[in-house]
Amino acid sequence: MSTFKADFFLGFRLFYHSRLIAVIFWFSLLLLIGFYVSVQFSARQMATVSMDMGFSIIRLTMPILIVLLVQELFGREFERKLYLNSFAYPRSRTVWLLSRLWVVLSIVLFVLACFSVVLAALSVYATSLYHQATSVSLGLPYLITVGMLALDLAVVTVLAVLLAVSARTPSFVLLGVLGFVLIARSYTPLVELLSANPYVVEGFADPRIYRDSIGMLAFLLPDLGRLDVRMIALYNDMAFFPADWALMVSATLAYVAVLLGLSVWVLNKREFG
Amino acid sequence: MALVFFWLSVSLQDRQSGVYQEQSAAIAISAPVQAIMYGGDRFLAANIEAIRAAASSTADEAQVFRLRAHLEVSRLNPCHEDNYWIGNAALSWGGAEEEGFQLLRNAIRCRYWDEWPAFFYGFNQHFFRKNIDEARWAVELAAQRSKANAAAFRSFSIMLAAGDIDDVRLALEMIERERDQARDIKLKEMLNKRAIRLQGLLLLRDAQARYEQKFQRSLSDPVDLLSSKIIEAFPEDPLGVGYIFDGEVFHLRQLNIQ
Repeated sequence: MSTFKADFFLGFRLFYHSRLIAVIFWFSLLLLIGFYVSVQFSARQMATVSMDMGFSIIRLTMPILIVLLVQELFGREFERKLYLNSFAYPRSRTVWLLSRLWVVLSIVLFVLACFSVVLAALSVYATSLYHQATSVSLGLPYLITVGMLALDLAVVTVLAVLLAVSARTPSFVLLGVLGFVLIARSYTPLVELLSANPYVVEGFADPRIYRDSIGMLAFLLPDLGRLDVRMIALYNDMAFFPADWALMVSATLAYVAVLLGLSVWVLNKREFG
Repeated sequence: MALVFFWLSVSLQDRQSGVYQEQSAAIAISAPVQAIMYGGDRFLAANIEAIRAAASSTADEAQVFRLRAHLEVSRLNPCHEDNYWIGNAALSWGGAEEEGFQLLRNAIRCRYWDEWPAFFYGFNQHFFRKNIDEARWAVELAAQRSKANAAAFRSFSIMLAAGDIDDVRLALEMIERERDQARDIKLKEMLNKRAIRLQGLLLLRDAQARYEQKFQRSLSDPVDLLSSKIIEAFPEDPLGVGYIFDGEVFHLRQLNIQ
C-alpha cells in the first residue's frame, strides 16, 4: 500500500505553512537588485554581465533554500519527534522519504523555473538598453544552462536529505551542504587556475602534485564546476559546451542515485529511541 | 520622542566635512583564491573584480591595484568584454603596455569571434613596439573575424607595412571617442587623463618636427626645444609617468611594475 500521494500533499501543506515563501520572495528581490546594480556598472555588455550576475545569485541562493526546505520537511520530523507518529504505523519509510524528497525537488525546480523566466525577462530589458556587439542567448543555450543548473541543484537536494536523515544535530545539514557545494563547485576551476598560476602554492607544495591531488577529488565528489556551462548563454556560442556532456550528465545522475540509495538505507537502518 | 530627536540631530550634523580621502589601498587577490572566495563561481569573481577595477580611484597609488585587478579578471574569465576594453585603455595607455598585451592576448584567444581585441593588440604592437609583423598578423586576424570592418582593417594592415600611419593622432582619436562614449564619471576621468597624456606626446613630436625644420638638424637633446623657444615648457603628464626621448623620437614612458 503506497502512501506516496498522501505524503506528497502533506509535504506541500507543511511547506505552505512555513515561512519559506517569504524567503523565496526575499531571494527574488535579491535577484532584481543584483541585476539592477550590475547593469549600472557595465560599459559595453550590460545584458551579459547582468545575466551572469543573475546566474550567480541563483546558484548561491538556491542551496540555502534547499537547506531550509529540507530542514522544514525532514529535520523537523526528527527534532520534534514527530516520527513517533509517522513511523509508528507499518508503512514504508522509503516511500515517506521519496515523497518528501519529491516535494522538495518539485518546489526547487519550480522556483528555479520562475527565477529563470524572471532572469530572461530582465535580460530582454537589458538588451533593449544598449545594443551589444555579442548578444546573449535566450533560446536553447539558455535552457541548457538552466537544465545543468537544475541537475546541480538535484545533487545538492539529495545530499541535504542524506545529511538530514543521518545527522544528530540540525545545524549539520546547513554546514555540510554549504561545504559540499563550495568544494564540489570549485575544485575544477581551481585546478584550471592553478595550472596558470602555480606561484600561489609554490611556497609550500609542488604545484603539479597539488593540482593532481585536487584533481583526485573528481572520484569523490561530483563535478559541479563543469556543470556551469553559462558561457554558451552569455556569448550565444555552443562552442563552449563540453563535447563529453553526455558522460558528465550521466555521471552526475549516477551520483544522485548513489546518494539517494544511501539515504534510503540510512533511514531504514536508523533506530529511534 | 527620543527617536525624533535622534533623527533631527543626525540630519543637522555636518557629516560631509573632514578631509575626503579617496580609498587608495586596495588589494587584488589572486585568481585561484578568488574562485574559492566566491563559492567556486569564477564568473562572479570576474564580474566583481572587473567592477572594482573600473570603479577604482584615479589616484596614482590605485594604478597598481587597477593593473593587478584587470589581470586577475583576465585569468578568471578571459572572455570578459568590459575587462579587455577598459583594461586596454587603462593599462596600455597608462604606462603598462606589457600587461595590456597580456590582457589582449587572453581576450583574442577566448573571444575567437571578436575582432576588437585583435585590432587593439595589433595597433598597440605597432605603436609601442614598432613590431610590424606582429601588428600585421593581429590586424589580419581582426579582418578575418570582422564582417563590417574587414576592408578597413585590411587597408590599415597595408598602411602598416608601408609605414604610413600617424599613429599618435589615431590613438588620440580612439581614446577621445571612448571617453566621450563613457557613461561612468570615473571612467571618463580615467580616459581623459590618458587622452591628455597622448596630447602631450603629440605636442612633443610636433615640436620636434618644427625644430628640425627650423634648424635643419635632428634633435639630440629635448632641452633644446625649451632653449630655442619652440615650446614654453614640457607638457605635464597627468598620470605622472612621463615621456622619454629615445632613439631620437619621443615615446610614452613605461611604468616599472614590480
